[in-house]
Amino acid sequence: VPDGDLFQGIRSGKASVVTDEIERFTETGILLKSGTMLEADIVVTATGFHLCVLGDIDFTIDGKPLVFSDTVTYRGMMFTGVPNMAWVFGYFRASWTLRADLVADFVCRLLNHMKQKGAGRVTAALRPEDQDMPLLPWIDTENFNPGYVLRGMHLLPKRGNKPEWQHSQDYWSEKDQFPAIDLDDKAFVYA
Amino acid sequence: MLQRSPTYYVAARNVNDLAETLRELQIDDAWIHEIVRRKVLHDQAAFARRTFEDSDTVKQELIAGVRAAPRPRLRCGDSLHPEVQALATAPRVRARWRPVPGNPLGQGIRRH
Repeated sequence: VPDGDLFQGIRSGKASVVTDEIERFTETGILLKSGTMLEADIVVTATGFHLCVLGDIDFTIDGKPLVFSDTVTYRGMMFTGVPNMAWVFGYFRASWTLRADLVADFVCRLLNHMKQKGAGRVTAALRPEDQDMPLLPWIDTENFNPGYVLRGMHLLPKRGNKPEWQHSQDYWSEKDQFPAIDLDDKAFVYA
Repeated sequence: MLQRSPTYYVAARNVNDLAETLRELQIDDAWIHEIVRRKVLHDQAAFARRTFEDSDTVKQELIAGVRAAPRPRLRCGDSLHPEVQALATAPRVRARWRPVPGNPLGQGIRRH
């Protein structure tokens, strides 16, 4: 907080925080859902951002456009039907880099495994036992529900109801689970 | 400022008691780093779990922590009072807790 100006503002009574939701704008300010009017000369919106999933890059696979939201995520880092790709999606509640480390270690292990097998391609795929698994939005809104995630949820891949098919947001478990991932599991299809 | 849901603050000093103890015992710095790192991660995981399993208690503890922080004349506004907030639904405490090292925000608000 540069120069503590927020604190000074609050202390002097110039600034305050209101917790509510916007019903609608009016001529003189904002009508809140509680019925309270918040008078304002100027409204500066800071309502979050719109997610650019995969950096808005138009990926194609064998000439077919990738519909990322149709894929299912393998532990929040690989995606069904998308070969040779892992992305780094960190933690909301712990350091992002903790998961970057886990994913990087996993990718190195996977690359070495592919080298040993003589494989040039690896793709995550639902296994026979996953075929009837319910496919759910990227994250449970009971778990994490800021506006930018809710607004972007339709762009994000699906998750399943098994640990392998979701991003757990739990470093304390994943730090043990990731090094133990069986690279010959049927969720990895090598070619 | 208008916020959609309350923000919860962890009022804590910007020191780690375990690290201080280990330094006092002249433990090797590399060991201290690893031990304290694990302790912080362990405690954060336990805290995150509690926000799911016992979110009401966690809310009360966070508010009590802000109230108990040094300096009297506490005056938390409605936006720091989840118990009077209809919007303070349980899931939100999971997303909206913030450590405030040294608690400058709390001190600023209390002086008001």
